[in-house]
Amino acid sequence: MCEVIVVTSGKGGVGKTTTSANIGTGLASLGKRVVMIDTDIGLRNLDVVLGLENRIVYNLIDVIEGNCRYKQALIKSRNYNNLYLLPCAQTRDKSAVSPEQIIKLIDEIREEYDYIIIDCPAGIEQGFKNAIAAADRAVIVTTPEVSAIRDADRIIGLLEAYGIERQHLIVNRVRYDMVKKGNMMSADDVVDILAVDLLGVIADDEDIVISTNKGEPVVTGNSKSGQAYMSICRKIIDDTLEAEDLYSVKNRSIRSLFRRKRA
Amino acid sequence: MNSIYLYNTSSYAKERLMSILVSDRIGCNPEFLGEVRTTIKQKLDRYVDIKESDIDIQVKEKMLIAYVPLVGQKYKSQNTQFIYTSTEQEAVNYESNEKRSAELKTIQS
Repeated sequence: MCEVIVVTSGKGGVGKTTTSANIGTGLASLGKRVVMIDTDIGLRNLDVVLGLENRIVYNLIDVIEGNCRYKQALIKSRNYNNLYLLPCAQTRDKSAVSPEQIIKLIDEIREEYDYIIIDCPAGIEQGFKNAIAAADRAVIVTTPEVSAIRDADRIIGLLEAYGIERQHLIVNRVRYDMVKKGNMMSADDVVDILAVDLLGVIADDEDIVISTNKGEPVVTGNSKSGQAYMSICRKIIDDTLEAEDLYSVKNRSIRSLFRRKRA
Repeated sequence: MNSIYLYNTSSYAKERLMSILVSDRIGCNPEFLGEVRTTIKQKLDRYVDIKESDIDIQVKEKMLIAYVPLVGQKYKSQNTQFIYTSTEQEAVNYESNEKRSAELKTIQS
């Protein structure tokens, strides 16, 4: 059975594309057949984050307008045979696609894959409506900042209005040093405010920037953030798992080490 | 901003967000605000001259606050405002003048 997951946030720049890339890659590394679809027409970036920008021949608009079959447009990932990207056009705008066309396309794709990850554009206009049209569930990405949380709340309301009841939250870019000083909301605070089930927490981590520079999602490596994304992927597959906060465990162990030294 | 938040900006942010989200959710629905305005206009019309379109409704910390600027001759000062909150709704129903002035908070500015 195929699940269509839309990764959305409302606000731009909170890490939707990075999250999409890592969830897609993580699910593929767990043996699932995955297609990632970039729906941010005119501002495509998922291809760059995945390091596949040189392989694009056809795109989403070509498929929808019937210039090619969807299998011709799919780009196979560098590391996994069961991971594909359907890039979007860079030269058109969001009005070139309608929600009905997306639903039709995804109905065609979903028969052969386990997961379809849709990278949603920022905002709540046409592009957002296209991206969520065919989604079964939503992953909402937010950062612990007032603007991002407010937009996330708006998105949650809209998703409910469009009938997408299964929603999960990823709190991205948490700075644990600031949380400890009381100058940044913790993931628990964000969950309190938004009242959505938590999928996982990602710290504001250098490794993510480095991996994006290289065009390899961080989930393929062994870093803390890679493990955090892996834990998110496992929870996507099995909803009964607990959301883990890998970073704060690390913080605690460092502190206890320090105490022992001093004594 | 309360001085207690100087060292804990995250709880200040959380508190602000909570009230923003409540007003966002209500604010998304103009019908509701229109209804509230009409009701306030009807209730206060007996005592003071007000314009329905002037009534400004806000939600703060789980409290509905309506700012009602006064117009016309029924009340002398032009700058007087009634703060009419949901908890004081009962107060408006009192007929006697003394009770009314005791129950309604009046701000002279």
